[in-house]
Amino acid sequence: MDVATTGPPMAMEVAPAQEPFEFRGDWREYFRIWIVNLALTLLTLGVFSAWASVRTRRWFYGNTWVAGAPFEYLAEPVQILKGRLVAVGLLVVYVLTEQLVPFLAPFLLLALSLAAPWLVATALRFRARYSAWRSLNFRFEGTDKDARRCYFLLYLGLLPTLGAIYPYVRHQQQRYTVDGHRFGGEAFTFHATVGQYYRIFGVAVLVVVAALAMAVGAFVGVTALAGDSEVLDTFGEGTWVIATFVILYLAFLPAWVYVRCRLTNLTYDRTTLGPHGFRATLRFRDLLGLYLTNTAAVVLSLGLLMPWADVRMARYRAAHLALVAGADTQSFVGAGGMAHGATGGEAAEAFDMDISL
Amino acid sequence: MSHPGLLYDGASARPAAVRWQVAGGDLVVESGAGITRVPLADVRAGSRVGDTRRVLQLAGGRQLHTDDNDAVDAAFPPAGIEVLVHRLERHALAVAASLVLTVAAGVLFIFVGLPALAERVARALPPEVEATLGDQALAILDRSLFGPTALAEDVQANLQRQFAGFVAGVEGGERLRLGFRSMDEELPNAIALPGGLIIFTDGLVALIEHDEEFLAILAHEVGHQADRHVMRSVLQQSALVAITAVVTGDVSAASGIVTAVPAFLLDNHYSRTFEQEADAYAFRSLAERGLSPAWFGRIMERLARDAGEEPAAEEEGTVDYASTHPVSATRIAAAVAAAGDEPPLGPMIVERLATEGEAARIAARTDAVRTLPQPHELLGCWESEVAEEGGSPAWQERYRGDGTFALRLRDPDTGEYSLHDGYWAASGATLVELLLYGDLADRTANGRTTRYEVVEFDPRGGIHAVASEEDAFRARPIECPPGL
Repeated sequence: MDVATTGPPMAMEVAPAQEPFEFRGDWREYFRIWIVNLALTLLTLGVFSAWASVRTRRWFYGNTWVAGAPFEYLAEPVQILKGRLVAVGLLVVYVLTEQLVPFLAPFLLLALSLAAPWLVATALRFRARYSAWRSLNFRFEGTDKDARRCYFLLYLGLLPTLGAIYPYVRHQQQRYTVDGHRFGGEAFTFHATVGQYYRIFGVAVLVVVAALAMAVGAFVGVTALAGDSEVLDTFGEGTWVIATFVILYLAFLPAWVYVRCRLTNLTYDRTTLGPHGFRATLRFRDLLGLYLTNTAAVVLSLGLLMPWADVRMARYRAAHLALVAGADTQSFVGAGGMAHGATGGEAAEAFDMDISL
Repeated sequence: MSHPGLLYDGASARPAAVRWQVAGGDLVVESGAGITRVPLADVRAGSRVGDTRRVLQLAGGRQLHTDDNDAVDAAFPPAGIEVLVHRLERHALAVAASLVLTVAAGVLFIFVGLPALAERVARALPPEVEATLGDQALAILDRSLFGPTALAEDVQANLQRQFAGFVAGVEGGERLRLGFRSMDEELPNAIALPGGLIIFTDGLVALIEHDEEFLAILAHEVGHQADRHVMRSVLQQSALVAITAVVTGDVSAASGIVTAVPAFLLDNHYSRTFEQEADAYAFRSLAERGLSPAWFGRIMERLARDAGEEPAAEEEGTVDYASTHPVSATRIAAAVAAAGDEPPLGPMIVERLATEGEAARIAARTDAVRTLPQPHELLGCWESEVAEEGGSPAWQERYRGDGTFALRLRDPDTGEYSLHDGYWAASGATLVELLLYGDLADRTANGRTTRYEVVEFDPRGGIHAVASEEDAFRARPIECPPGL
């Protein structure tokens, strides 16, 4: 058949030097998916959450484009469900132990910490295996041994050094994560130095000190102004607890955002995939504004604006990330995939140990 | 009608631009290289998510990627759960319904479902589980907050006796126990632990001035025990932790405070609900024993003052959403309301020990003659006749200041005396109704005339005016017999 009479083919541009990432999802479409997911999860008492999770990731992956193609998420809900059941079981066991046999709880926690490196490595393997771009899967080949070093042994050194080696630990963990990933016959390589990590965290500490000083100053000022007025008595002690929460949150948020911003930029700028590189241009003030407004929106809307917040963040992050193509972006070649159970991945995520690049 | 697509061979990231359509039970893929036919049965179509790119898996690792979701849906009708889900996502009505359902379900679950579930589970738990929990909790408290009690043996014994009398009338009361501890700075506190242990701190015992107040707080704590509040609270809060972890696992665009504050508020809401239930239980069980719920209000007032609060009868704008207990003023008001028109008093027929310099000991209700407390002042003697069978005689007394009174009754047939006592607290010139129980009621229920000798004593040396004026049983003053 003649191509000309049956319409234009799908576009396949020749890649220019910088390929920006792009998030194309509309939050209204995601809201529908999200709310139906939530309702069905509630109706099925949580069983549907595995399907919900898969659909959510597929939507976000599928709407993230680079170099003319979107990403794919390939995990099957049933695998996720099994992993979730195991994770929930572990959670129940832990919570019950904490309540009924509290002296056992530290041992349980210790056992979990020993298992954590394996959980992290398995989660990374799972996520990589079921992520794809242009039909080729990612892979993660980091070893459990290296995971044990980064996610357990190094932590032991935090207390004796009073946390001074924390930037080093984070550097090692990020290097483990990046260096372990493969795509299309090429390996990711991490080039950032420990010194760069220390510089970032050093500034963060200063930011925290400054923010705390301002917060305490504001608190003292307000209390002094209010004096003995009845305004203070109207609010019970509980309100002051909440106020303290909020103040601490505001004090630490800038530092946390700063670290995330700088680390993300550093990681992408110093990561290579074969001949290709990356470039991230997140800005601290943008991110801070995003987090603050997102949190306010989510709290004020009782959670209903969460999809809007998620899409907003995804769009910003994508817009400030680019692939620096050192070669034809379609020259990747596939390799045989590895099958990996979901259990490690889901168990890790239930305990919030998900690692994101 | 064919559609554009990209065909990947599974070995490289370079696709071929193709056109595809479904014809004759086959997927027909046409590229520059030629035409391929794949039976539809050999094609696996991924499910649709919004309008994201669709992947059709062909044999041999080949994949066909297309953006034409509608065409794929037409060729490969979605099956199973995905049909329903996708239809729901597309229909505005379904979306709206989902929204309402989610919000309603969330609210219902938090305020109704979870508490109900927790209650079921708590009641079904074997007592050993609760007892274990209670022992663990006590061990922790003894290590951190509590010290050994410094109360005198006889004080403890007295309270234990009252406790025993109170819980005798409580269902399941045999598993309840009373214990004493001290806290730093003599903090007043009472706590109910799973497994049936109720602890009073020395500071609280010191603040209590009347046995009714002890019983009021005891009733509140027994309320916690009887309705298994601690177990339910543990279950509810554990469930909240677990649910929060699962539901908000993906929260990354906002931050941790989004979950911390609601969790904190919910914890306090549950806690306040339990405290209100315990208060209500206390009012009921006090009333069942002929005690006015106002006693609860009285001790709450004193506790609040001790803590430096000023619980006026109505406090405007007091905010309690962030507290674990309802505000004191609210609880006091509730106690007074529960008391209704009942005057806030009633007698306690108990053995009461002297405190702080009192030398007197008031005997419990018995038939034996007891020594009258010293010093005492005979106020007068009355004779009464009960108007109807089964009615209880009652005295109306007017009083000023703190004090106690004793009623010595003489059985006209046997000539034996029995001593009954009671007391009232100072709150202005309020009428107090005194109800007598036991032997006295038995003896006067049959319309016989019984002579009363009213003896009053006030160890604190207060001034009292006593008069009786109850027409119902027509007590009239008589000349006291000599030798009293």
